[in-house]
Amino acid sequence: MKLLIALLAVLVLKGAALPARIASTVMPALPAAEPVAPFSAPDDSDLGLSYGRYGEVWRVHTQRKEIALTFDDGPYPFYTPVLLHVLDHSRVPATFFIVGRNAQEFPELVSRIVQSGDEIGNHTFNHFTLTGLPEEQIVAQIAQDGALLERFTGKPISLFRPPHGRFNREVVSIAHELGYVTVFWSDAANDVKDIPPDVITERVMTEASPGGIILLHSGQYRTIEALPDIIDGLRAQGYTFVTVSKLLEDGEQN
Amino acid sequence: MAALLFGVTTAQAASAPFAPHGVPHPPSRVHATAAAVGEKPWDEGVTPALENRLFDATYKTLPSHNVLKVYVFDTSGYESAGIRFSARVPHEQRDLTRPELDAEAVSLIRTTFDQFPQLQTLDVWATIPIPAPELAQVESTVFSVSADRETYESIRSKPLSDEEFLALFGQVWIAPQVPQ
Repeated sequence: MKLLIALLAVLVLKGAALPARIASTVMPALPAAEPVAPFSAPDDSDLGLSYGRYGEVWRVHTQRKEIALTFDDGPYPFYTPVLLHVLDHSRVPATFFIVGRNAQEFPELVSRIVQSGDEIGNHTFNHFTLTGLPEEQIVAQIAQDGALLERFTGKPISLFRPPHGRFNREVVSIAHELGYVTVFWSDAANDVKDIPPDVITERVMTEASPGGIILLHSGQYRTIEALPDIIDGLRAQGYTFVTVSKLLEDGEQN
Repeated sequence: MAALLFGVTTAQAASAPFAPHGVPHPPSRVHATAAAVGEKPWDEGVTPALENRLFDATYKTLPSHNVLKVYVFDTSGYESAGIRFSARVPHEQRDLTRPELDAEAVSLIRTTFDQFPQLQTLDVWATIPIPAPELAQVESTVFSVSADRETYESIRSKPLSDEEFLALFGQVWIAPQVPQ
């Protein structure tokens, strides 16, 4: 399978130079969902990384009171600049899992994320649910996004989060063979549209723990409204904000 | 989100902004007719009163009155706005050219910063409709620029072409298919 993935990845990377809308027209319609792994972090009390059943990361076990904010999707005009302003104003680093098609549509926003010192991760090119796709399409989705994002960072992207949090052994395995660590979360606010900011804040604070990874979304203004309280609240409890990569490094050192 | 480009059904499109997985759709990409909320669908609903004022002010500035949506956010005294306008010329089978897009963006930036002194940043982007099933309106961005007040104040009186004016913000993007 490694050889097949390598070949597919090469083909995809060559194709990544095509305009997105041309390249993406070969992508299939969204398939029907299939049973997927549950949204629950494994119960692993060992120090270091907490790996799930397929090698995915849900949190980091560490004695340090470090925590990582992650934002899925986007970048989006209006929302992403405001989000960056709040993070910059509070001097909080974050990790953005970026959708390739949005990045191609708003490249200057990706540049601003990188220039702000925040980290970017792979969230696939089209945000399809991967678990129902054939292997070559999974490779294409991950590799196309990675190739695009590397143009902004100048170095390989190491973090991957599957769209909708849907994954199985194949998805995690392919991501691993493409050089990614698959990262989920230990703390999800379920910040869907029109959830009041205080509810989002309460959900985040309730689940916060050292080594935690917080899932939020880029295109929700209620989330942006909640963010100052989340930052202040966690700092008051002694937390330091780090990127996911920093959190993984610190976990490995324990 | 993928379904927005690849064969959405009307029912899917109508429910798209409230997808069960909680993933929001980009504000530029879709506004399904059936999902329009409230009496003023041109307002995003973040700060409705200010959004309505911004819409009133900017709607009049464009020759085609083609402002589609306005967004205003107030975060701890930091106010930011977004304006999405149509790059398709109403009643004509053509899209705005690059010079026309530049002119409309400059007009929106000047109007917004001059009339709303509290606003610190403005994102402007233009979209065109792309093929989609009946009743679902799907848009694709062809132009965007992010403007900040500090830069604006430093260049507002300078004799610059529209393209030069926008370039000084350093955040202009234009799709290859835009007619020159």
